[in-house]
Amino acid sequence: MKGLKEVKNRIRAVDSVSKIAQAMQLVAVSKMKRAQDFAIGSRPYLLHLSEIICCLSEKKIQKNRHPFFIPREIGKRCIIVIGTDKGLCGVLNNTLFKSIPGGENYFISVGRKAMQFLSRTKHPLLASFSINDRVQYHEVLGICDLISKLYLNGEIDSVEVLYQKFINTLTYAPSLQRMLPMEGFHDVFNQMLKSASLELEYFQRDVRGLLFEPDIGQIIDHMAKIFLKYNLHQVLLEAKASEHSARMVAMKNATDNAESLSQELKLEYNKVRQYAITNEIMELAASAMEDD
Amino acid sequence: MALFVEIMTPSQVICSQEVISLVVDSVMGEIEILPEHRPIIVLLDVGSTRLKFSDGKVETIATSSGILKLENDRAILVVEEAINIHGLQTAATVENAKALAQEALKATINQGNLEQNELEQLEAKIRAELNKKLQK
Repeated sequence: MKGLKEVKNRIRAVDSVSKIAQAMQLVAVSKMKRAQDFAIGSRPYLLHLSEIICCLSEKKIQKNRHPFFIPREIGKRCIIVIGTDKGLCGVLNNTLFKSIPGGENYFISVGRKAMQFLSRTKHPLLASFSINDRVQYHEVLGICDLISKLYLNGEIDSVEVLYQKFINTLTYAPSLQRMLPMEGFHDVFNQMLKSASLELEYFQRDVRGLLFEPDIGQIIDHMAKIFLKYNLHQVLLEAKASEHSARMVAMKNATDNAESLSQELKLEYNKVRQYAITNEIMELAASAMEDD
Repeated sequence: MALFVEIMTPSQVICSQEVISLVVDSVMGEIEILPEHRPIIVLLDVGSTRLKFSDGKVETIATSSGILKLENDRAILVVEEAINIHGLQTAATVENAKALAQEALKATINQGNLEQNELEQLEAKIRAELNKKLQK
């Protein structure tokens, strides 16, 4: 049987672990909420974008087709793997890494865990990015710059993102989404609206002819880049929401385990204490009997 | 005659106000837009966007690249990032800081008699606070 002090120390250790796990759970809840709020916060931006897109007719877009919208024969794929920076989020990263497609692909990692996994398994890693918990919009600019350059130079033929899709607080699923080449201009935009649960509104048009400064081609170019950035940003937000919800669940389990362990240890402590008392009484009784 | 201006970034609505004139930096150069302008879509460069209000005040907002759409005297700027440089917000924060300092001073005066050196210390504190706010 263990000594009293030893059991007492273990109880203290388990209790403090439980406290830390509970605190981490609370932090994860608030961070997840923030990521979701941010995703909702970008709705006005999308609505205003749709006002501009309404002015661009299908005919004009077809005439000035951006390379992002031209289908290509896919040879070299580039896959962006979005992992987490920190651990303690259950099987989130493991299930994601298991669904990395085989074949000769290039990789870009987001998050430290993804970088460690891809470099350890000797995948051809082109670049490694890190995104903080707030997922600010300007953080996606670097990734977008890199992939659009590689894509336009023809070094890669497609860009896909592998991330944990957020379904609800308890479930997430690895999902591979294609970013480039995009399908039709209006199709992509409608999809963006749909994911934000908005409808394309048609606004009252001015009857006077519309001017373009400098020209419509450059404006469509810019639009294509906005689409890429916006979509990537949404994916990153979703991946962050999954990460925080996974951490929340993992920490909840850890708290529960620690609490039940602490209960068991308390029982053991009482047993040890009782054993010691019984021993002492027996010794006393034995010595009293000897005296007689 | 007024022009309604809205500036949007993916994270927030930076401004939504009525102005009498709007100056933007396009990729071709500076463009000033007045009410009754023809509908236009402009590709914006990184630069400053100046809003002139009917009371003569001018607000400058630093904007990154984006698109401006003008139709029916309603201008929408869809940009990646925007920061209000020295607009009404800064003035409000300075006023707020001053008011807070004054209140704090009053509260201490009411508490009891104040020594001359204590008063000087408090004044120094106000100045430091103000400087901090201004630097922000």
